[in-house]
Amino acid sequence: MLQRMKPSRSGNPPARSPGRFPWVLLAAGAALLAIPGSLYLFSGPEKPERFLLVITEAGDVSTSGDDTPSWIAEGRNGDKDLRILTGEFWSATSPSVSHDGRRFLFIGRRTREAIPGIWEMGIRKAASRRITKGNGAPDEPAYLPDGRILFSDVPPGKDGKGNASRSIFSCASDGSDVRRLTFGRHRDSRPEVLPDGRIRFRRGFQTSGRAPAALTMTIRPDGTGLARFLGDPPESPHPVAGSAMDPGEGRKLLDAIVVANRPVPPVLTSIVNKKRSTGTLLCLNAYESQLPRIANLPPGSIQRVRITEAETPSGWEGETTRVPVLAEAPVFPDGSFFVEVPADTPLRLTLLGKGGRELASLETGIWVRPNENRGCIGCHENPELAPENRVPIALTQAASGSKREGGFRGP
Amino acid sequence: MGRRGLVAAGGMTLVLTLVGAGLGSHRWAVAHVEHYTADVAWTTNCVPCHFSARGGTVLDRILRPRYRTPLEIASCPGTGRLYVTAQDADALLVVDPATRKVESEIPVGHRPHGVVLNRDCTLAYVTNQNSDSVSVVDLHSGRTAATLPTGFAPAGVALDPSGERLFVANWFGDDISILDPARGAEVTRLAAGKNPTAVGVSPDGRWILVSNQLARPARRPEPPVSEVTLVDAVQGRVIMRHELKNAHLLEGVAFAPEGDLALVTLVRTKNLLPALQVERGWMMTSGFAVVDPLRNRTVQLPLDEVEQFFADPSHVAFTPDGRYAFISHGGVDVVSVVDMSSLRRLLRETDPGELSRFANHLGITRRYVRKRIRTGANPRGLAVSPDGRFVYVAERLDDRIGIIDVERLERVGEIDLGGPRHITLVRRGERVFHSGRYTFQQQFSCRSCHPNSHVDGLAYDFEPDGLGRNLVDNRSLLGLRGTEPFKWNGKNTSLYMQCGIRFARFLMRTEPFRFQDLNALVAYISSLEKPPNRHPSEVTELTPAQERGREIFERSRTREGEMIPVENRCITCHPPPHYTDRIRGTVESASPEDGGDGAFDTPQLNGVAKTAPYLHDGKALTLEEIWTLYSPDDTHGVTGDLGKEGLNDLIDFLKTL
Repeated sequence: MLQRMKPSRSGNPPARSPGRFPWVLLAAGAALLAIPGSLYLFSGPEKPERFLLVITEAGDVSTSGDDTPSWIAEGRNGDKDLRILTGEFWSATSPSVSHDGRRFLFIGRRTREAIPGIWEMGIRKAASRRITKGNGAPDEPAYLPDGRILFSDVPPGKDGKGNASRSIFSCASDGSDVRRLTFGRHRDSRPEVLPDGRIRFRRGFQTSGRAPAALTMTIRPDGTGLARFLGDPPESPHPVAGSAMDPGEGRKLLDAIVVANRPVPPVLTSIVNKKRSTGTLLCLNAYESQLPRIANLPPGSIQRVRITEAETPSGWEGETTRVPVLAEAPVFPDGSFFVEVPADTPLRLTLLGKGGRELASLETGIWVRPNENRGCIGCHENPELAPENRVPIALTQAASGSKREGGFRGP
Repeated sequence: MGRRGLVAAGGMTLVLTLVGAGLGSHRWAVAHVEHYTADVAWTTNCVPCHFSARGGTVLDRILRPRYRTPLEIASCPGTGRLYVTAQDADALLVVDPATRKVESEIPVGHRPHGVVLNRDCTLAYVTNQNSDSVSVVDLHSGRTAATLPTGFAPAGVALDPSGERLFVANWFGDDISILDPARGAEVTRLAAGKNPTAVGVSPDGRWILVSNQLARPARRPEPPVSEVTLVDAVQGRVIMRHELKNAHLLEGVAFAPEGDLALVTLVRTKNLLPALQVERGWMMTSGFAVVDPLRNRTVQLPLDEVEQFFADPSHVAFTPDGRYAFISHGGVDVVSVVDMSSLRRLLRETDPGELSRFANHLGITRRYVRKRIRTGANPRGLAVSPDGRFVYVAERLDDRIGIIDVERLERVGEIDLGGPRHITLVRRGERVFHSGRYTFQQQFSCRSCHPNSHVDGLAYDFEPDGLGRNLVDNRSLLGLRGTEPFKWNGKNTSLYMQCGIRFARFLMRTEPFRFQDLNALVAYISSLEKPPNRHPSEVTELTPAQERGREIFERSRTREGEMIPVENRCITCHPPPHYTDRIRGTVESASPEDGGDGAFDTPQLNGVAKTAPYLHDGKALTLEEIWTLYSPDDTHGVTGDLGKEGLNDLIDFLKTL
């Protein structure tokens, strides 16, 4: 508020008049401020939405993709011109954008005869570098929040021979330190990082007969904690932009993903210790099951559990084959058992009754990583159950596996 | 060598010395930080740890902001005005939701907690947790008309419809005061469960339900059992103690308008399981109990979902038509909306055996939770407007009241309570402490195991030292400063290490705190003072029994005159001011399941009266049991000569610490 100056005692006008309020200047200032304000309010999005497009030549497209040239291009909404990023490649597919929206991974081949590998490229400065240098068949690369790279590939050794198995792997950003994260003869594919830091992937089954429906599974980034994913599908980190983008005349759009900044999921801590070769399995109650042949067993009927390697490339429940026993442990009256098992080995559990009679055999599809203590509520229990708070008798008895010595090492 | 040469040589020497000293001090600083954090040296700046975390930044110390920290709300049926307890302002705030302004701030006692209004909204009764009193506030004059003494640390409060009886849950006293406000006197005091917290009154005023925050101390493998106490308001006596097995942190309680049932918020602990994972609620799940007060029937149901968790449910309120119940989750900044018709259908159509299994069934939640509404930081107290159109939620660590539109089930506005804009390091740490976002899937917060920054009274089995072995009792965070090292094996040299990378690996199961958050958390924990001692303390004279106990505590000879070895005197290992020598020692308390050398960090004894159970693994349920069960050969001090009366004297003295 303007304050009027008091007249002087002499009655003369004050030495300095407040003068007229500078309305003109105020209006000019307001007008100047209004210009950027109106630009902000009435302009559309600051930048058009950007996409990475996978395009190919129009015409017949090989279903395998191996014989089809393809490119990755950058496109913008409302802009018909595409910028080909992978012009030096014979084929480029499966793009995946980094969390900061500046780089992307893709599966590339420089020539038709070259072995496909994971490549990384900047979106603005389209310089590329090869990440994987092996002879495998990596696919579906994605960035992990710690900078490592996630992908699916053919597993080494017997798991990958003579069948169409695929597993999930991770490697360092330079392609070194490749770590296998899923085990067994399944078709594990489409790995992606969830907002909570876990990896979600699709698990397909191979059987000689009718294959069970594929499942959506999760693991932690160190391969521990395999579980069914039961939540709502969260927003995909790479939502397909749809067919709104026009790839141009003579071209066909195979895929499109949005280029944008995304929150970086947490980097989950790991308890895996490569110096160890085993982990443990703690089951709270073997009678807790959705399978009637287990749930209907009378209390006390399960005496022991036998752990073998899941050799048969079957579904969740397959036939037992004679394979070496990895471990065996007593099942206590409360249904609990605690057993030390070899790490990184897909496990089959056989529940035994009196006299060693086989009651049920379960192709669990689970494994433990080195040093992992895996907890199970039951044997094929309802996956929506949380555990009951009860001391498992198996832990109060001498553990069937070896116990580590030492004192308090908690957090 | 000429003069110039000497100057050059001297200058070179000085430069090398300074560079060497700089490099050396940097190396020392890196080693120092790594020693006290067991992590890479995030910083070698001395200021964050040695200045800011010990009382705040320079700006914090200059400004000394006083936050409002709203906890509970009462709504006047006639005027719609809100009355809000402001914990850090020691005041009752009068808020007009129509103008969304704070009309006045009425001083009350220290650390106000609950508030209830009389029928015509002329009086407000406010419990003062650190003053052990109820302020009777005259809402016309805006002054405290009277102060009524209560039990220790009063929390929840309710008034019967006649206005003749006031029911107060005494959190530290484990009892319930029934007060006659007209006479200003306590009529009677009833035994409650452990740490009674909230009070709900039935619509007809006949029944009072009191939720008790903690479970009764239990010896493994017995499950923890918490109590909901049912009081006959007319007769003034306890008529039923509803037991909730494997549940604790019972905080919010409210009757449905129909009066046939009440909801009590809870957390289902998994303390008897080894903490080997967090997924699928392996550590704890949040939920509520449906209590049929008169039939002694309770049903526990989850609020969590398989892939989504809603930590720290604390308050509950019904709409007047009984259509919805709103439950605040302080750990995830969410209010859950329970559709009561769906819930009633589930209760009606499911057989009791199946219902009992729903306590752990995270897939059942979607059958009655209608919506999750985002709120400001740490939502706690709830109140519904008289017309049932709005729900008000105390956004405790934002100094705001959030407004939820009941028809749209959306947060449509807020009321700024006028708290300081400057957020101190301690305040940031308080937000970290109460937030679940630092644990995997937001399943729990620091507060989930340290309610009121204190203890949850449970022992846990952590993973890295073997499953089923080396159980550890939870320890209080109140008055922790100056008692390092931490952890029962005494290996954590600082709070930075205690809350550091191993904490993330084996408990939070997500990424470790970032340094800014960790530093703020340390500042907050370091700022926590021990609560005022309700037993005669240093400011008052000890009773004769306590004085005898003090002499026993400090003695060097037995009653027979024999010299007690120095290492076996109480005062040797438990010297003041914190009553710990801060080094490891053995009192032969190790269990067969324990590994290591049997030596443990000597715990501080300040506030020991309220930290049961005792010993490193919580096997002593009372102070008496430390000596009667676990020190038969005088391995934990010499008490064999004391007899029952002498031991009672010693314990009486310990309770004054």
